[in-house]
Amino acid sequence: MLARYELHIAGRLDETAAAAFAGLEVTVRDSVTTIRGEFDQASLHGALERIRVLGLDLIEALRVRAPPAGRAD
Amino acid sequence: MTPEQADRRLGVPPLPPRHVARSRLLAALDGADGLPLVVLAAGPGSGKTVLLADWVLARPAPVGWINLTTADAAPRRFWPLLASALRAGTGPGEIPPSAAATAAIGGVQSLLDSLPDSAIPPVLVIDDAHLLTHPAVLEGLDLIIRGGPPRLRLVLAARSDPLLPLHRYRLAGLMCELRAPQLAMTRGEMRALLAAHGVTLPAENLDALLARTEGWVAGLRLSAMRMEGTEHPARFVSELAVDQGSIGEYLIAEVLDRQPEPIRRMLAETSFLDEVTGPLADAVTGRDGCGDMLAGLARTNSFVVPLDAAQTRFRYHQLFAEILRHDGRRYDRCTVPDLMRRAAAHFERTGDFRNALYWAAESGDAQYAAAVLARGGLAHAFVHGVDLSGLHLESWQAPALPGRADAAQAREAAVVSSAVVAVMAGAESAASDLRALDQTADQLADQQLSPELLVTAGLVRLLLGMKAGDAQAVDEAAGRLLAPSGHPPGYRVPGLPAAVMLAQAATQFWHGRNEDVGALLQAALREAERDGPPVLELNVLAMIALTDSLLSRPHHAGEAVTRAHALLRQHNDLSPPLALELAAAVRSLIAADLVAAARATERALTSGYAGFDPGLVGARAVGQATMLLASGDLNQARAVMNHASSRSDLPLLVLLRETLLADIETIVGRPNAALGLLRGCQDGDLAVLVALPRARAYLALRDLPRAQHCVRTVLTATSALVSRYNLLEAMLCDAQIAQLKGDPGRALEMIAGAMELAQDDIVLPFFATQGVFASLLARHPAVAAQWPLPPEGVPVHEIMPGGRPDTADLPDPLTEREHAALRFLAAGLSTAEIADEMCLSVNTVKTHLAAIYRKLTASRRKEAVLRAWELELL
Repeated sequence: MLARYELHIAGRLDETAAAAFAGLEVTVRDSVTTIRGEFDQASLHGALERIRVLGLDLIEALRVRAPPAGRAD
Repeated sequence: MTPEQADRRLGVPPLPPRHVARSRLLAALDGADGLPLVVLAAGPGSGKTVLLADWVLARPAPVGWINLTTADAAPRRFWPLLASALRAGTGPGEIPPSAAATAAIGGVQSLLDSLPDSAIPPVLVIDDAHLLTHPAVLEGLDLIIRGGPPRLRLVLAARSDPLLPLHRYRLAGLMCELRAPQLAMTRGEMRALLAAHGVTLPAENLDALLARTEGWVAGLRLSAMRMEGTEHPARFVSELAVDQGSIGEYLIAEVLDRQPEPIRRMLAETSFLDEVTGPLADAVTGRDGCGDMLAGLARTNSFVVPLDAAQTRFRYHQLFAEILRHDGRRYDRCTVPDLMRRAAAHFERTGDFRNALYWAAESGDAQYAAAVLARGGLAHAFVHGVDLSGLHLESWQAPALPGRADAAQAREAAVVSSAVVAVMAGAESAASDLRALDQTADQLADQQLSPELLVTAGLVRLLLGMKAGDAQAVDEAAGRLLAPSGHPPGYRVPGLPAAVMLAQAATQFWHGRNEDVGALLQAALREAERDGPPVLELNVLAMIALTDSLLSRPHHAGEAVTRAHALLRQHNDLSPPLALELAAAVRSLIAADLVAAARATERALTSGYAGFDPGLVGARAVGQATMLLASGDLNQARAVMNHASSRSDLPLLVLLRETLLADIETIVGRPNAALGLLRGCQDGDLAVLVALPRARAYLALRDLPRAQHCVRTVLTATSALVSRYNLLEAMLCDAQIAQLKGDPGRALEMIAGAMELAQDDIVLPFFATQGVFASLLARHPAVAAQWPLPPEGVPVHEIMPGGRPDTADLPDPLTEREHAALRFLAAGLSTAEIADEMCLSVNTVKTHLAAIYRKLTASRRKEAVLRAWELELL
């Protein structure tokens, strides 16, 4: 039931917001923050709820293929 | 049974019929015994609640249980609820009731300290913990989880991950997690569940069912219900396997299809109710026998949940209710607002005006809401302090009377329209509304009015009088309502006399007519104790506390405060009224405990609905400004006093405002401006109260004779308005004059007198004049040693500017509409959605949002929401 997701958020996260997503992979590019991780439905909705509570602008949420086997991740 | 055990928010829900125990999961829960946190995170229908209920019911040690709702997730309500859940769970006497009060202000540590020290820490289950989003609550829970060896173990069931730093708990090994994969039913569990429903399936069908439902508990339960008693259960499984749609919807539709039409219709038509009873369902559907149908469903169907042992009250499983509501669209006979109005009518008939008003508001039918108000709703709201702003009365229109309308109908229509006017009137329009009412007085005072209309007509005058600040109108209306003829034979609204006396006392107090206030409030208290609801008793006690605090009678006020807190502990659904918070602020301020005063002011500013007394809102602004002045922030104090929303025309509040503004002028070196401000207040009963600020202004001008004259006016006044606090201020002022005249002997004499009068509970005037007497005190160490000081442990520099709560920093408070928009903003709605919700144009919403950003000094949504959290505006 675990699946890999990417959540794209407008802008750069400040400290409070970054701390809220600690434990997940957070990268910033072209003023879009991407949060990556393995989620089940409850943890995915939890992450979306955090985004809502912090008032962040969610651009998109994508389910992505697991990285190819054998690649260091 | 204690009231807390009867509280629906605290009970362990009953197990469903045909329950199958899940031993591997129960063992997993038992195995987590040493850990401070257990999290069950999975979507709806995963069997979280049932599993925990099964676990809790089998545990030898008691467990606290909270069924969380959105309303209870705010810190103000959550912490007291948590404390009562623990009390209910650990048995009475083990946790001191004071823990609830401490926890209410965020003292999680003291709550933990108050827990009995036992080898096995108590367990607290919070169901629907995903509703916890307030940072203060989450911080408190984090403290419980990470605060060393567990004094309290938390079990959280949530549809989505609770917003706690779960990854840290995971790393630190503090948490046991049960998630969707573990909660999914195994093949064996599924077989046991089907067997309990008398269904047996061949192996390949079992596999197909498990694959299609992915072990989802609600899906399997629905499937079992669908197959129960059918001849070919396997056929259902094959059909289910090929269906591609949402499995929940498919299954519930299947289960509903098997219900006889009357039951299906009843379920659909009552699906909007949070709680259903037989008579209520009868009223809403317009058909008899619903009670039996509900009880029958509850026996066989785990989606109709009984709420009491006698099986008279029920609720629908959330998922089930969603689909029922959808199902309801098949029946176009009635729309949901119609059904809501029928529910309101049912509650009106049974005399439950709280629910009648609630459903009238929900139905959005202003005509109906107005009729409920006139027929007894207004009296209920007035006694219970119900906020009527949700009734949509702004869209109310006087209905055209039928051509053949008789006099009785015309009279009823007049009362209905006057009730709407009274509720909607603002301070500006109330006086003219009252005059307009006088012209139709004959109709409304008519003895032929039905008893409830007669009472409503009386209350309309009282309310308009209060809003217009017309003490005479209030006295007259109160006199009529309290007279034996005011409540016709056989008709009594419990608590109404007490509520009327409270209103009358408050109005007199705000008009500076103190003579009867104390006696009226005591009489109101006796009446409220006798037959009023607890909320009314609380409101009376709060007003006693406030008036006694303002008249510097700290012991009397303290007594009322103690009793009010006892009531709050006893009744979990009550929250501290505004008057009680203001009383706390005044008491702390007088004792120069600025930290406590700041906290109380903050609570007063964030407390919700202010009730029917318009004076309290004005008093809150005066309290806030006094607080700011005492901490040296003159500009903010002035801004608060000049702000339109805090301006009250009630004489005492006008006077306090002018006094404050004048003192500020004197302090900033403009005593002539101060005297100019006070010139308008020198006539009337309250004039004696402006003598002190005038004395201070003359003192600043070094006009000692005039200052002396003013001080003498206060010292020799016989008015009940001059409190011990005023006298003491006058004496210190006199001492200052004596000092300036070069008469230290007299100065010391006055100071000694003031100290005696202070009786150790009035400190602020000494604190404020400490600098003035510095050299005198240095020469007389014996006097200096007795000089009253603020409570110890708080260095003065910390309570001076900067030590105030942030809330007081909001120079321009949000309007109600802006506040509403802010809530939607925090809920993540787009501008267009907010416009839709608030029935406004997009441009108007944009204006509101711009104002919010400006007032919160935020540049964008996220910042505004974060800042609002910080300020506890949300």
